[in-house]
Amino acid sequence: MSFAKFSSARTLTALAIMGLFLLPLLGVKALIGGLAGSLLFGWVNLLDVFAFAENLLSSRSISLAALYAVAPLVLAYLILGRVFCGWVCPLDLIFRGIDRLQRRGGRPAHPVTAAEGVFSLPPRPKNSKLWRGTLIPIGFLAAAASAQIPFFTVYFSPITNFYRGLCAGVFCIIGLPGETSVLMVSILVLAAFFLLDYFRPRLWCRNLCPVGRVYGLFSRVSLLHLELNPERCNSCRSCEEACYMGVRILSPPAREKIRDSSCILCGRCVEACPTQKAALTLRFGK
Amino acid sequence: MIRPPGALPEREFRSACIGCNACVNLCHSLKYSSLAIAAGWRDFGTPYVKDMRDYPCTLCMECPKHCPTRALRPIPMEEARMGMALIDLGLCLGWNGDVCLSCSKACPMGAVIFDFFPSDWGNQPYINENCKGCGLCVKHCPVGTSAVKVVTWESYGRLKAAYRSETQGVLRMGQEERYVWVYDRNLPKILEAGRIIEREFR
Repeated sequence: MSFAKFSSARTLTALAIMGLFLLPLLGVKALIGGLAGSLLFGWVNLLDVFAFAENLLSSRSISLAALYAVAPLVLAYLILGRVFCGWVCPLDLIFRGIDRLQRRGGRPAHPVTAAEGVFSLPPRPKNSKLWRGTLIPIGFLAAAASAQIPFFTVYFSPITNFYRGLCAGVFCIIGLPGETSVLMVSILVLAAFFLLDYFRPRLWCRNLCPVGRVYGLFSRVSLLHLELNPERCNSCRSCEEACYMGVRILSPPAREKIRDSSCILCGRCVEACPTQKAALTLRFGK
Repeated sequence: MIRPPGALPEREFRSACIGCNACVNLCHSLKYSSLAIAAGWRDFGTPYVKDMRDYPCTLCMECPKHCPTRALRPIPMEEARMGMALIDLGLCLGWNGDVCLSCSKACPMGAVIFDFFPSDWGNQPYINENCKGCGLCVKHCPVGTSAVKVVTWESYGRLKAAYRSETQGVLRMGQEERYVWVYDRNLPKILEAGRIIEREFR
């Protein structure tokens, strides 16, 4: 098995989903809307889990339609974990492009993990700063509940802004009613995320993004997970260096089944593993 | 701001809409393209009907059916309350000596909405409060800048008294007074409006 497969599969999946979202602009009903909320083949509604939570708190009411819309995604992510971040999110695709840019510029792709030393194996505690990231979704949810406006999903969310910008851009080009300033705002918001990623690679994905944080909860219980075979592992830490989410794959106590809320199941660690028979695999199962 | 059909009252709509643009894209994929994304600070990212002259809502009621958060409620088109169409009596051909009927023919609700006051001065149409505010009459008005405007229910509340009294004033006019009103005041305005080329034919 050649292990660059995961990266190309992820690129293809993300591009395919982006394509499905672009088809309605050409008049084909494929996947209508954006990653926050959409309509699949004119048949079933989908609603992002964080957007659902924010909507629940801001509208202060629960609707059956929203439950029906969020249920398919909850089910899918209970099985697949945090695959949204690694396989679906368009930002992941763009951030990977930025990674490549940085490597060309001679900067280490992931200074945070690389600086921690590759060959030393001190028993490291769990990332103690991680709890700070939890404040962001809670803060946005509290703001939504008090002001009754879903601030994050409407104004800041890169996934809404990405598809809103695409939609507004296409509308501007073909001359349909639309506001150029919507496109401008989307471009500015996305540019801010790209700049953040250039100077602090994956800080957004790792610690800040509320959407990913919510999907991280699914990653802890999902059927799809990372599995480590300790007998085959020679503790070279290539996997931890490759991981841009900062998952402590090898940190003692050695776990066989790795269900970390940061793990986006991208398979980069599996690709990076130098052992002949892969010590790391992505597996389904309890 | 005219919201899509089935929208909750403005404040509740703002709290329920997550700006996913499913309605905007759905409208576009159905080839109506009447919804646009708002850009104001308060309304950012929410859908509204921007250009009724070229892209009116057709009351197909697909967007409320598929709103994932129920900011738009699925209702039959008879219950839609997007806004209220007001005919500019000074520009309308039906109030100025013609039998035009374009707006009433374009209206998806027809006789429920249109009242007529036929007289020597034309087949005077009047839109009553059953109006859904879809804007099809705005599109099909032959007058240059469209004699019909759709306003929100809030602004209609403010305009209502003045508009009613204006209509009744015109209906009560004597022949001489009406002649001056039509020929000296309105016809130059209608001709001027006709000269304004506002539609771009692609």
